[in-house]
Amino acid sequence: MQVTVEYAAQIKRAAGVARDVIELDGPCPVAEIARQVAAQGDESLAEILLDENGQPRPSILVFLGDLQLRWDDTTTRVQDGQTITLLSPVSGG
Amino acid sequence: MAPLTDHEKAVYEWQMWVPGFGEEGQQALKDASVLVSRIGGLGSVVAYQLAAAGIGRLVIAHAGDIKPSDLNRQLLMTHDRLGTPRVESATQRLKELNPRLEVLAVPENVSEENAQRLVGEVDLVVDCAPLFLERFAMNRQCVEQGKPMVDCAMYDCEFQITTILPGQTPCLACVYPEDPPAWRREFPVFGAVSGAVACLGAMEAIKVLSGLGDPLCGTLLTCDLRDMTFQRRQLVVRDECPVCGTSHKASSTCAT
Repeated sequence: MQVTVEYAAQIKRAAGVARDVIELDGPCPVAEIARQVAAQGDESLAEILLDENGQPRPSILVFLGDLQLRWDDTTTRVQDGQTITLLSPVSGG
Repeated sequence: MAPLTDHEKAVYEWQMWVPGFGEEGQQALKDASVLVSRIGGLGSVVAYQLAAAGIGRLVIAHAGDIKPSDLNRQLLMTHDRLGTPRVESATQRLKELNPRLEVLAVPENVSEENAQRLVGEVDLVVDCAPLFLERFAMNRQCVEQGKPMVDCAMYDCEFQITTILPGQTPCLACVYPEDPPAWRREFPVFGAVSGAVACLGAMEAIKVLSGLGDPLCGTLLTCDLRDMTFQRRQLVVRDECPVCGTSHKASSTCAT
């Protein structure tokens, strides 16, 4: 199945593109998709997305459609054709 | 508080024509005080718009002197004042626009040490700070003191904005439960990007203070000005949030 992953802010810069379409074996939680995205990208993308234990960083926001999900949400499984957005924290200045 | 003068009614005539705002809304702005921290690319424009709109009192907090790299976006700073305190330049520019405005200029950045006092000075906070620790300090005090906080942020050609109403919406610590390790104080941005989100932030403050319209409660508005993509995204409350976790009324609507 295919899922569209949109990137924002620093994640977009690290990914080098605004969005990807990734192939998955089946519906899965957002944390697994983040790990797959990190594995497919370069080191800077993995550093932004994942902590030293390979878990998604709590400060990275993830949305399924327009609804925020928590990284520890293992019951919501992203389905074929859906879009998630990974949004890195930004600030003022 | 003092009623609107004939001169003020003349100055604010065009915005008092806005349905749902009127003289009552203008009086609410005159009676209100707002903390803007800091007064850089975002905060300069937030403060300027609020001064133009007739807010009664601004507390502006920003340490340091004007640098050349400020001048692409910090519109209260001027070339001839390079090397002088930012809050002095900002105060002068704000008073030139609105001599009736009361300004408390604080030559400090918000911190855990001064946040309680600074937030205690005002009715609403507009967070324009670059460091998460500053933002977390304001957020904590806003939640403790029950004061709304408009949160503006930007990067490159993108921006994000939401409005936090303690007890009703996720707070900043719900959204960001840790100090993001990858964030740096200096980052790429255009002044037009900071100005765009700053105008939205000023409008959110005006709405919350006057009761006009529907603020972005629990909603994160994101925008990428590279392709003019705007999206509204729903944020979630963290029940275990150490800042606001016990204060929620489980409401997804604004009660301003």
